[in-house]
Amino acid sequence: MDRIPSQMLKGILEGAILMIMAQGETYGYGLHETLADLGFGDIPEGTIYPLLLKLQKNGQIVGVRHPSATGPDRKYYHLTPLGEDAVTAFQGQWQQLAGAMTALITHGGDHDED
Amino acid sequence: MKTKLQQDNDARLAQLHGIDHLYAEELVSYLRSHTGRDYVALENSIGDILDDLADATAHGHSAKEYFGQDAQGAANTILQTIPRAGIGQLLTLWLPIMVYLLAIYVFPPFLQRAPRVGLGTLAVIAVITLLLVVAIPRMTALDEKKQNRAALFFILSPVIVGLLAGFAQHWADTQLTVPLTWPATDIVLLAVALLTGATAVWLRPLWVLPLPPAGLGVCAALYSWGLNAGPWQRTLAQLGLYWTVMALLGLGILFWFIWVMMHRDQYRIDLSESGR
Repeated sequence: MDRIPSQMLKGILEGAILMIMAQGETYGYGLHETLADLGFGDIPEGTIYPLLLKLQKNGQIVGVRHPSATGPDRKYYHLTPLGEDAVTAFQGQWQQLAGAMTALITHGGDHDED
Repeated sequence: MKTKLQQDNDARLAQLHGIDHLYAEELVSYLRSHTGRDYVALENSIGDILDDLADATAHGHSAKEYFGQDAQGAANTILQTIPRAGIGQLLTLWLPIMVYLLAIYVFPPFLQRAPRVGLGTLAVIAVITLLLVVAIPRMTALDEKKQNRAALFFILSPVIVGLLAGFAQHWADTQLTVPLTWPATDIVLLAVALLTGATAVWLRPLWVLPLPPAGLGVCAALYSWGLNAGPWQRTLAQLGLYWTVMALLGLGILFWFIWVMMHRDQYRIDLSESGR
């Protein structure tokens, strides 16, 4: 699978993280693995963590640290009501963008100019 | 003296071994060198990153592969997201430095009979403070090129400081020809005392940071008055007594400076929690 250019990922990674959290709380390493499993590629923690900080600062997610049975303490992140609103907004925007891109790919340059 | 936050993060760092440990150590040092960021938020972020690195290495990743090749770029992005330190937290570094410089450059020429102080002294303090403000955050870097440049700057800095300070003093003393004399020197000392006294009121209950320099400023102003106007001018001007007073003031400031620097991170936590 080709690597997704970082510039392309930049705009959607925040939304993708929120959507993963909408399915249940997650932690830093778990998020990294989920993104990789979904096909986003090997996104470094140095890219993910600043986004987590930003989302916390915006009040869209909350991080709570608790011990893990299998290793070091982990900070688990979950959505706040503001984050849930952001997921809804992102889904609408994404569908609009995906629809536009699909139309472009399907019909190519065949659209009418009149 | 390490705070509980720092000790906890050092324990996290100790969980990493070999190259992973070195990588994380450099990253943590780089983040901690940015003293303009809120201390508690910064240490909390360091804790998060170290926990994630430990998790990743336990699952067979290397720290560098997991955190990213451009560690400095990522660290800079993280730093931009961490809130800036309040003025109180910044003062835990800059107040001791300013008072120390004042003690070195101001007390000896000000505390004399009939002092005549050129404005170059003030220019020297300004130049050295400016250099420290610019240089301190640049002393650490994560990539080799920047590290080499920082090391070169560190080696050359005493020469640069010496040349610039000498130039500033020479230029200011010859161009700005209005010297300060008594009682203007006494007014300057009292102004320093008043300013640090006002800071003490603002930073209460953290008296240990601003109150001692305020007290020393008042003592210096009183001694200067005694030397130039009081009824004991001759007694106070005796060489033995003069050097005793100077040594006591110097030792007082040195002791306070070391104390503040040792407890600085705890003060930063207290100030961070009270939003200053």
